[in-house]
Amino acid sequence: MLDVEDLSVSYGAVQALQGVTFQAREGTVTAVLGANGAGKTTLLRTVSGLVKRQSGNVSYGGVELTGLSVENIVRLGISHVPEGRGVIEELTIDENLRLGTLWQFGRQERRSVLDEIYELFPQLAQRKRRMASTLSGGERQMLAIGRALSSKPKLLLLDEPSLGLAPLVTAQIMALIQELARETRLTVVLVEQNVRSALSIAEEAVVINLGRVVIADTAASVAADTELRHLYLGF
Amino acid sequence: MLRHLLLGAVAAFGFYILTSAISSFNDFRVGEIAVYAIALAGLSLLTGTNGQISLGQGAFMAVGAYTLGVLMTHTHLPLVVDVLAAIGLSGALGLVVGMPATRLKGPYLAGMTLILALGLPRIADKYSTFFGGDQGLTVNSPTPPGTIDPQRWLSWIEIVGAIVVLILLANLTRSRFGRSFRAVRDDEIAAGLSGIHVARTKVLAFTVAASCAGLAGAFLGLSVGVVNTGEFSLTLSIYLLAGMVLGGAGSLVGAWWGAIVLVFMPGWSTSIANSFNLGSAVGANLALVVFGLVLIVVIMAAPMGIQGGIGWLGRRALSLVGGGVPAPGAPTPRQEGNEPVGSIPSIPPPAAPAAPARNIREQS
Repeated sequence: MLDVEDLSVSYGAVQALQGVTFQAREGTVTAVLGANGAGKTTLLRTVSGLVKRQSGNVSYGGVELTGLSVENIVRLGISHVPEGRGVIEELTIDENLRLGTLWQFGRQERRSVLDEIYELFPQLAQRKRRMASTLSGGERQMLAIGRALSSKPKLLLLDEPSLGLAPLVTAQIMALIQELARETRLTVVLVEQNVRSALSIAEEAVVINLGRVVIADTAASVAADTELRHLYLGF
Repeated sequence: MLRHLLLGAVAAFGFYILTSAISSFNDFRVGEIAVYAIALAGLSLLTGTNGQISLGQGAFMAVGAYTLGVLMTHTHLPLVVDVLAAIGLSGALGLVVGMPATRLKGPYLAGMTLILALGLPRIADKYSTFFGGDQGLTVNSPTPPGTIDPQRWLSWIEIVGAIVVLILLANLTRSRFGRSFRAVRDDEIAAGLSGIHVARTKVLAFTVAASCAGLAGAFLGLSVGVVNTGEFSLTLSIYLLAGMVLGGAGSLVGAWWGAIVLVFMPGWSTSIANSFNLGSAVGANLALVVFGLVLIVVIMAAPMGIQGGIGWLGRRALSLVGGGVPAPGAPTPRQEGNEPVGSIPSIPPPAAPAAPARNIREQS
């Protein structure tokens, strides 16, 4: 379980997060929603160590994450797919996927991890030796998720996976995320602007506004709260 | 690995034939090419593969050369120990310099390494009793066994050194470290999020590049027979950076092209100056002008350097002959008709949840 407690982050004079508290359970998708500039991306970046917190705590499965470096947080089983895909354009698809396995696993296990990912994304398997820069937006998102999965994470942080994708591709990626959470007991924290898609696959939802948590409840009750939706989610 | 060893063996044999056939002076030049190839290959790894620009490669060469010079002047250790010490000390300095360098990028990193290139030789001037001052330190060439020409023997040592270094670097760039180097160059955040130690990777690249420079510097000292600050001016560092770009940044074969240009260009430009009766002052500086021109022309004609240009020509020739064999990693047009964009066959299409039609409406 991801446990974020009273987390505050500031960029100079700008208070990006203020006393954010929420939990994300194993095997579920937790959607983090809110308007532009609400602090959603900052929240993910703080969990994965890219941004230093001001105060508060982040822990996963009882292990304290605050103060650890990005690489060490990844090695604890926390994968972050940043906004804008986070693939290495000048490496091939295969090399991109191998990055997450470089520092762990024996040869045998590395092979089987990669095979699993190719099974999940057959069209990546067809293009193993192609440069990541030649991929389409949807394929890049798949590669980014594949790369994140290659380190066999326990917690997957996804930042706007639907950004710039066709609705059909978005729907497929959302379905994949839901399946991953259910079948592999992965904890998923999903930041999304596409509120309806996110709520449709999430069990829990956290709504953030101006760096503060407005509500943390089940996805169903957030979706049902008309006033909340009008105020913060824009539909 | 085996392929690199085979290539190395073939290259060694080729050089053996070449050096046996030519004069002693040309042996010296072939040896110099090998020396520059070592320095350029290290720089190519650092700048081309890892993306860290360095104007300090000449300074690390100075460290290697002075280590050799000081050890030869003040001790009587075998040559191998001197050379290993030169590699070790410049590598260690590369480690120290590499650590703050991990926080710098582009022009800032160039600035920091520029200070290194300007400042390090001054230390040798300052402590002239130890480092020999303007006169420099005298270095004795190794004595060849039997009746082999000393110059030829030294060239062989340098060539073998260069081939060994390039085989090691080729294996390094093909390994997981090479992949990490390229990942860090391309996107540090994505590399870090893949679990790569970004800072460590960058420091490693700096250390390897500096070690190469140290070996090259020690060899250069042996070739010239004397180590002084004049050999390791800022111009050397700039030449090395330009030579690396000329040969092809990130390409180990390109390092040889760059080295050939670096060794032969001063001679060419001097002969140009002579043929036009341009006087010695012009002749001495013409090399810089010609070098600049060559650099501009090569970059315009082949942005990936000489090696990149050769690769491009080779692929063109192949596609004209064989009807198109795409090079690995070369972008080929996507065949949109054959596969639906972004389909995930193994995943069942989503049921009720995210209905695409609704999504279109709410996004518009």
